[in-house]
Amino acid sequence: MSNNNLIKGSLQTIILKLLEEKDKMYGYEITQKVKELTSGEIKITEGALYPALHKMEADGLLTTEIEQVDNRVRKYYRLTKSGKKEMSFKMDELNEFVQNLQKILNPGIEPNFKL
Amino acid sequence: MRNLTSEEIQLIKTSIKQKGITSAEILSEVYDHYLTHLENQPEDAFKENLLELDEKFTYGFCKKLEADQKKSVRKEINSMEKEIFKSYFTWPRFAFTLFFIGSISYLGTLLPFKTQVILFTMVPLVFIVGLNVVIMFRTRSKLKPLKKDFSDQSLKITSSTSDYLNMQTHWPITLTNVLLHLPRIFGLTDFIPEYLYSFLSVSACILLVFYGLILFEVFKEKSKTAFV
Repeated sequence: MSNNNLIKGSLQTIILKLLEEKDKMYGYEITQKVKELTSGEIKITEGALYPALHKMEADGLLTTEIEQVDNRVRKYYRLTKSGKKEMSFKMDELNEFVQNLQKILNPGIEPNFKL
Repeated sequence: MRNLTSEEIQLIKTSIKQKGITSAEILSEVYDHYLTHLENQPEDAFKENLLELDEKFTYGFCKKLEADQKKSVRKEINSMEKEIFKSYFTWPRFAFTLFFIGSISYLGTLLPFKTQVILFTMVPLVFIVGLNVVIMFRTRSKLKPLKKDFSDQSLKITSSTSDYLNMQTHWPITLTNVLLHLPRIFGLTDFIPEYLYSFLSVSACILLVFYGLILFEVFKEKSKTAFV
């Protein structure tokens, strides 16, 4: 999947969803998880990921903690209370958007799936 | 996953040092990213992969990450401080607030001016200075492993969180110094009317105590998760 704009628009939602499923994750782990889940179809670049993570941290959606792992310091990200709220809001918003998009792209097919 | 050789680790460090990163938060994140990525790549493609990472983490990108990090730390700490301040006016802390303001105001009517200044201004200031020293020592010990890894880096590695908290501990001390000493430069020694003595010292005490407590709570919270 090469359309970076589509990924960019949903990056926050992707991060929030991944962090909801796994309590805490570090930057590299997020890129690898997305790659694994989409069989390499979606690749999150470092240039997009880290600014997004830092912005979400500044907005109070994520909190960080540092841990000593294998002779180095690792920074983990975790959802805050407002991050959890934002996640469910973003998921609803994305579901609605995908369903509406389906109506436009395939008017004959009733969209019956949920993200 | 494989273990990187010491030569490979040295090459990674040299490569990261060239980016001029001074923020401990960004430096540790970039270093960990490099190590984790390269540990998962074959040994024979090490140099190509390192070059690929260098192209992603350019000097400009790292500087932008640092600048954004500083802004994000400020924003986060400021909003934490507002939340903590508001909490002093919600139950059960409100009882403490009322009791504290009441006691200070009552003491203000009993004590002579000089004792009030020493007690009401100096005690909270000493607490803030003490906090500053604790923050410096804690940061130093938390940054030790990272500084050891990048010991020959010419740029000083600092923690954005600690820098901002330290800056916040400095300004009440500076302001008090200015207020106490600046008027003397202009020959103003008794410029405060006597009837304002109590009001000013009590107000200063209340502000400084709340400020010191808020800083302490932010430090307590951030020290669990950040380089502070």
